[in-house]
Amino acid sequence: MTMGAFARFGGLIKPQRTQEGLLRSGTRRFLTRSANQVGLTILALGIIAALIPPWILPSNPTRVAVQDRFLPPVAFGGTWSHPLGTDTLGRDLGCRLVYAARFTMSVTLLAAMLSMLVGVAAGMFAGYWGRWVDSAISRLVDIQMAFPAIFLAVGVLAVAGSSFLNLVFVLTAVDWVSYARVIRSSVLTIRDREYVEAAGALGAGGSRILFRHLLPNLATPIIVLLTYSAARLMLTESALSFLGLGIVPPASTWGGMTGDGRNYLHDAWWVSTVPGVIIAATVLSINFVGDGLRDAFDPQLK
Amino acid sequence: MWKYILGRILQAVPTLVGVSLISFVAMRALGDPAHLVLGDAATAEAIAQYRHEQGLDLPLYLQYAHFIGKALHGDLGYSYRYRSPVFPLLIERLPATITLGLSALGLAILAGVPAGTLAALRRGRRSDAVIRAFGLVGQAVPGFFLALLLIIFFAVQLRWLPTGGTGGWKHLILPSVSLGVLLMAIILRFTRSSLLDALTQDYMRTARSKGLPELLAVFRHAFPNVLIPLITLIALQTSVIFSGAVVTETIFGWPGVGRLVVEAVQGRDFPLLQAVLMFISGAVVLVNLVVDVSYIFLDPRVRYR
Repeated sequence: MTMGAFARFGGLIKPQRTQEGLLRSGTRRFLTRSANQVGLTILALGIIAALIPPWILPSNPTRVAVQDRFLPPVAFGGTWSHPLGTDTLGRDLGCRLVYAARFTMSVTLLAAMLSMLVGVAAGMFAGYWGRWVDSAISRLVDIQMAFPAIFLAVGVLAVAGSSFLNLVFVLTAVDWVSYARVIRSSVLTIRDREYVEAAGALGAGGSRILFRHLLPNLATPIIVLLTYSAARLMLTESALSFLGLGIVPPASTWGGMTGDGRNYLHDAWWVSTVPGVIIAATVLSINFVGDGLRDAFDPQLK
Repeated sequence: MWKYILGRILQAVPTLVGVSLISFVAMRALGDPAHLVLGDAATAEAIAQYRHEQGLDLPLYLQYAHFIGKALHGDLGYSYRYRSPVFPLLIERLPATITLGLSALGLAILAGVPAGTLAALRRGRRSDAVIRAFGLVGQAVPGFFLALLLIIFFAVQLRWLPTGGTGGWKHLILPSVSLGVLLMAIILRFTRSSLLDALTQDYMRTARSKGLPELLAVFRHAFPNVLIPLITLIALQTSVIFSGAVVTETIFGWPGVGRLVVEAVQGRDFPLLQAVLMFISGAVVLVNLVVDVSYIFLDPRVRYR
């Protein structure tokens, strides 16, 4: 009998205390890594940019000023009045990036949340109930995985039309699978643990076991999956917007802005590369945070 | 062994049915094909006659049966935009995408597997850090952005390579690289992590303790064990390649299936879109089936199960 055993025993009686301890030590581990700090900072900047109301911006992101078109960024011979340069319609790129952040971030976050809800529910039902529920959901996952994500999304958007909500739904339809597969196998491994059996023996029903006993134990993988899914979805959303299937102008996302600049690579390379760098940096930061969370809270998860 | 093959084939059947069902339902959800073909000016009689000719007035399950029957005979429908059957169009575009996909995958394997192996063997050193950073960035950079950067540097500034189109091998380089970097990053990260895993296994301790040099032990014992999940991973990239091909082929004007999809969307050519969707997804299912069955030859453990 060691201190560890006592601690575990104590944990059974007062679960909050152990969980808080885990949370606190994990958070400390997470925050000491410099990659995580960088990732969190860039992500925070992106979210702040998304929250800035457009009327505060120094120049209107949708105002057309053709006389100012294709001004280069400051570092490449431009002026401080447009530090990141201007696009084909003379709109300030910096202000447009901030304005586009709200759409990029909200589409990505909403889609990631929705896929999480659908995917986690599907994975839990498949893993816990097994039998035909499992076979049905697993087949659905197989079918979904056979469709190349962009093919399916492009097809659906072409039919249903491009709009904010359609984009969110399409992205959800593409990504719920990533949760369902992992959660299903996680449920399979914890389904037969003693505490689940004990809960069943005490008369807890299926939904009580699922939501009160299984779900809390899946919190870590779910959060880690959420970050990876957000990164993937941001890339998919950007590709769709780049192809012109994103939300409707003058609203735009970073991917759409990259697509806008595609035809001016000769004259004004910054119009497409500046938003491209922002997308890459944001996705990289989300991945940093995901890797960091995984290492800090759940070393077993791959 | 035969039981395994048969079981795997039987497992693919419902998936294929599901893929076709989704493609079919999506096609019906688009609205009335008769309106799309004949336009808004068509009279009610003309539309009714067309619906009758095409069997659109039959119950849905019969329509689905016809759809499947035709598809199995190579009739995937009729493209409005190209005024021709879809199947030959698809077959005409497929080689370009396969060329692009294979060369991207080839680059990714040639770079990703050695880099991942090196990183695993030199874990924690500087070379490991550099390779890992490369893998992280490769997974975060959007394919279209990479394609634009490559065009700006190698085509617009240096003028070494063409900005797009087809022709000699020079036209293949930039599209393959921009599609291949993501695949390379995926393969690299997977090779590294599974090799690291294999290096700690009991059989490696045995190999080391019997005096086998480390490198020999790695390639004779650890590597074969990494290879099988790696092949699964690579097979799973089929659908990633097709997804990437949509963007890459559009940017580089590469005349493959990916661009066909974008053209179908722009021309609101839904039968073409649905046919491509069904055909490619079916191909993905079949590739995965072939890879699973090929384990019999790759992995002796499957043979005796």
